[in-house]
Amino acid sequence: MIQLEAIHIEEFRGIRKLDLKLDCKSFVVHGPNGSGKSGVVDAIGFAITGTISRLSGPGTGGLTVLRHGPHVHRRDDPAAAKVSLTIRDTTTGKSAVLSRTIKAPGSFTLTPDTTEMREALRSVQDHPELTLSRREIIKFILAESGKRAAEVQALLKLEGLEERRKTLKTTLSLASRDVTGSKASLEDARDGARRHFDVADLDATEIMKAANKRRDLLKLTPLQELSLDTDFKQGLEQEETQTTFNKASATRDVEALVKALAHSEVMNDNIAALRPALSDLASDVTILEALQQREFVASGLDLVIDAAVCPLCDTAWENVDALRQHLQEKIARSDAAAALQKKIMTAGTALIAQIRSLRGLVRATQPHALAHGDVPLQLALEQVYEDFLTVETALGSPQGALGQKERVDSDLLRIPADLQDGLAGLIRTLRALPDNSARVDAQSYLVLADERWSQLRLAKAKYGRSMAVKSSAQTIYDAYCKSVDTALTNLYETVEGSFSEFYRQINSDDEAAFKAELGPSSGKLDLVVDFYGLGMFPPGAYHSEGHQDGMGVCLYLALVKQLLGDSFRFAVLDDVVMSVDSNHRRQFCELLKERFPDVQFVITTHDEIWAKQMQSSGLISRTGHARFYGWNVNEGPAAEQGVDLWDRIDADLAKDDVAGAAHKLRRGLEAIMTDLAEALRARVAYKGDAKYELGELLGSVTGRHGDWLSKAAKSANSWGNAAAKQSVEELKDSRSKAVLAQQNENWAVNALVHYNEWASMSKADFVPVVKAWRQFLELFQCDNAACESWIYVSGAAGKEETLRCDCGVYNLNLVGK
Amino acid sequence: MSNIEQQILIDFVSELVTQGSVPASLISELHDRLTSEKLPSAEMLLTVLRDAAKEGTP
Repeated sequence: MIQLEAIHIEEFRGIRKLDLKLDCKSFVVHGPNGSGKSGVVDAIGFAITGTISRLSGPGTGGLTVLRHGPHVHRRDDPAAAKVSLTIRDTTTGKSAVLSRTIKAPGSFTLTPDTTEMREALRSVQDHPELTLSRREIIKFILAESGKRAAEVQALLKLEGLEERRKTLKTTLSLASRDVTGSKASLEDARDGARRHFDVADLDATEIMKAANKRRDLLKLTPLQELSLDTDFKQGLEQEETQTTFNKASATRDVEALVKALAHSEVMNDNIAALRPALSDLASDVTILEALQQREFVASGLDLVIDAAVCPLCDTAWENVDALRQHLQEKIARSDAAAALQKKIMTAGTALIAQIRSLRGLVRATQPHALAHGDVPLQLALEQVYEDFLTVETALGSPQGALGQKERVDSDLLRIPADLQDGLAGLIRTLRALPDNSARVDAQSYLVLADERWSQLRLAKAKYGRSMAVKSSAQTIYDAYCKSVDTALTNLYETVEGSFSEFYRQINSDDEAAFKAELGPSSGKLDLVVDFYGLGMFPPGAYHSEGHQDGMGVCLYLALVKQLLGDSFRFAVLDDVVMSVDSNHRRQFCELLKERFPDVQFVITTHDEIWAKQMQSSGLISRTGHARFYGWNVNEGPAAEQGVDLWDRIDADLAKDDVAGAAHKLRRGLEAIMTDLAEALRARVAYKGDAKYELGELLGSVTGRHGDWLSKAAKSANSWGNAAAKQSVEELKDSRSKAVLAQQNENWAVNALVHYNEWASMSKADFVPVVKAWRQFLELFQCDNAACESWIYVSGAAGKEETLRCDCGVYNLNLVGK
Repeated sequence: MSNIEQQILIDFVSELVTQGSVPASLISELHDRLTSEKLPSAEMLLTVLRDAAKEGTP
């Protein structure tokens, strides 16, 4: 696996030139919508895979990487559009530079180019799911169960399972078809044998009696037993076996065909069942289309998320509900079409068997017509044979059956009018032939008996093999399904546990008993979740959008953890947490930090508070963020990386931009006070919109900080801990000075922001203001420059344990003796 | 092929061996085919099964 040390982007999408230093740590790119953040995600994806996901998939018809990947001003110069990633192999710790240009997206350079580095790179290239957008996470949660199973299996790299299952299922179907065909051939062979032996059943005694009667006449040893290997002509001289015409047997073959054709009304019930079904099919051509499009439309419905554009054809719709309704109507129509298909196939299959039997009789009659010089009859039988074969094939599908509708409605078999006459003539011819001598008759009888018996033996062997093949195919298919079901059940139980655990951590305040159930069944994956102990429901039933987003990320993390285990070291989360409510953001950051400490998350968000939260929770370092703002087409985004508040203010003051510095100070203080209010559990008057003025938070934060220091002093006293007591006293002293200085300068911030008096305030006037605030905020940090968290209170409400920072250098006990 | 898929195919082979109704040579052939980079067609698998059935017929 790899992690990113740095990113270099040139003339790519909306970015002209950008350098970001990530140092293989989690990193956040934040800025308002339209500030160019997504260009960074696209660039990372492009460098790794050579594709830009935003330019492919539904709704992106006509967009290409080559034409639309470069910045619009360099659209005719794709070589100028390039991305370089400095990557580190997490196994070896070695670094390399991966570069790719839009001109040659299919190839990349790697410097140094080593086998190990290519292996590490491939581990990311093989996992496109490591870049996750909100649209993708919500698919896991809100998709219908069949689609969810496909999405989850794709993420877990299990698509091959379903492909193999389908292949084995098709193999089983083909094997079953073989059985049907070989069974019909066996019946034909049995019929042929019955006709020749002139018996109602293939009874061994009857057959041996008939055969031994001829063998006796020829003075041959009688048959003692009958088996499939019996040689009826055993003992005949070679020249005696050349006689293959037997008058009686031939006559019975032709008579059987005449009789079967004359009683073709046995097909009438099946024809009667087929007619109305074909009429229904013919009356609405869209039924066939519905059948053909059924699966396609179902997949389209799953892809409709929140845009009123058809994902199948890019047609714009008035609204997304109308589009959904249209697709649902199509699926409903295909349900009716599926029922109609079943009727057609049931009647069609029965007719196929009946026609196939007739065809067998035609085949048995053909040689007799040929042998007796009736060429027109032979040609007519040949034509009938081919015609029956065509009809059989056509009846095997609804579309083919529809093509035979006219015949089904009038005369399915279309026996030529003169065929019966021809067959009657053939029978007369056969009967008129002089009887063979008894000896020749017996010889031909035994020769033909052996021929028919051989056909029966071969047909039976073929049928046996087809049954064995089907049995093997069934055993293999069942064993495969059993192995898959067992493995997936275990796998989903693990995922289900991790998912529930992660979600509980984010929502520990109000859903500490949350649990989820993933139910795999027949290619589907049902998901139900607990809703405040009131029952298990689909996630979209009662949970808010924010909770659903949280579930999506948790399920994603659980799946990737299952897929990659300890190899999970890198992921890009593209604005996936936009809807998570403000009460749960800190917990979300802590989830990523605590559960995935070795993973480098590259996160984009348009919400600055989110970015602050990630920093204050310790998920990202003080330099681990880039702020995007003020994008324009000529210059791309303005971006600052890792520049903290004070550096930005100093930069403004260096340019005598007091207004800019004042604005940054005010906005920065508002964001910081929000973090501190939460970290110190400040008591603030509740506001429904959660929009607090700086002044509303400042007093509460300052007061609460004082409360905690007092509590820490009491604790130190109770334990008789002199060192701790002195430490707290020093902190209280610093607090008094810093608060006083801040209060003295506070008027300036209010004046600057609310009354625009900055115009009359000079840099010299403003520098002391900045200094006072800086000193004030230092109260809430430890002395360790590497520790980038604000101090916070640990322990449950009412049972607070410590006032501490992340690294532990600042750590005051709040528990008394 | 993912680790999970590989494990499932190993379990599948074990299941067939345990059942004992499919010849060992066919199980081995199936495993090779199902783990190959390009999944065989159903027709090809059917041919494999037919060949195995022919071998099993005296």
